Amino acid sequence: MTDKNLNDLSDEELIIEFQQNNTVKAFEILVSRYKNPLTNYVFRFIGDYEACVDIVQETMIKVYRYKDSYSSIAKFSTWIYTIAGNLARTEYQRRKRKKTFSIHSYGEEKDETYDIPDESYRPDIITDSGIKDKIIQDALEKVSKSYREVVILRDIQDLSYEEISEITGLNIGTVKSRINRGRAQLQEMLKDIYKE
Amino acid sequence: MALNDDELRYKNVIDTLKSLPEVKAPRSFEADLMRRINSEKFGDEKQSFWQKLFMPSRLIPSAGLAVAAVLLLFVVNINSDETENPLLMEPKIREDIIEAKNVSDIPLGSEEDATGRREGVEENRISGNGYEDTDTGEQMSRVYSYRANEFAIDKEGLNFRQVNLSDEEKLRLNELKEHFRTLIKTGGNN
Repeated sequence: MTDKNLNDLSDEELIIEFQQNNTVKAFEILVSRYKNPLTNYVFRFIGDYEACVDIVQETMIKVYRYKDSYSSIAKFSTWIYTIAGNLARTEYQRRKRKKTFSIHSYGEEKDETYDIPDESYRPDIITDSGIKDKIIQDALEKVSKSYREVVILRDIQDLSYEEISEITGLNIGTVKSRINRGRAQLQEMLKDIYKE
Repeated sequence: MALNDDELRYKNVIDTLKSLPEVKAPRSFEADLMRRINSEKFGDEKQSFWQKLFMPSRLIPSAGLAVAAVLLLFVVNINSDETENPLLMEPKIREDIIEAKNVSDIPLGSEEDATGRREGVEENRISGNGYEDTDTGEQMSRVYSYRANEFAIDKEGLNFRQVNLSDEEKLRLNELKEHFRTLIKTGGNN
């Protein structure tokens, strides 16, 4: 199967191709499709860019290792978001116990981490347009963990209530309830921005 | 898509969150990922059951145990011929004894040979068994005659090993017999 044909396949078809024929190119296409959405999701949850990249890499490695554990009954996006969410929660708990704070996440040291200059958006680099984003991110990190995750999946990642229910293992009613409570907390913390 | 009541209530928050720029993975993300995957080499090599069973790390202790067991058995087998359990040994069949289910099966001599049998019994009694008798000679003769009549056994019917003595040996034997008779009569006191 050519690369052009592989790019036309859906996520589920690609993972099946990878399972049955060990087509690494199919895996690479899935990585390219999900690396940015997962990075965005995990960063908004954790708030640390370096840790976020590690978590997303671990997610991809788990997809590579345990590709045979994926069942086509569920959507591939649900499966990969579940893996990433579990890893992000584990990292969150670990940080909470250690109470460590990364000095990189607030952009104090700009050019230390990466060898290759990256022109894409860097949340740890403070720019004029980034100040408001940083305030929003800080507010988001203050929202309770159980509300924060579902708010991010719904309002930032644009996933459906059904998908969020499958990813988190919660029923849809609980998902909706937690989303609204998270939004309420954010609204309270960002009220000064809304006055401007 | 139409907003529900909750989404209308929190529209400003939802719009604020949607306005956030997407945080992207670094450019080296895929290269770093494949480097990690290739260095760890998992997921491609599936070991078969036999490969797992005969892995050297698993085989060495069991192989050592097997070798030790073989050596132990070998050593034990080498020594087994020298030391036999006497309780498990079957008695060897003697060819120099007669097989008889009862006394009547043993061939007996006639009464005319009673004297000889008496002597024979007496010889046997004196020569064989470390028997020490403190009776007088008369009592002994009565015992001997009783025993001779009751257990009249003909030497011809027994599988004694025949030893031909010379005249000198016979003379010496008789001297020894006399000596022992004397000892018996005197009670063994010297």
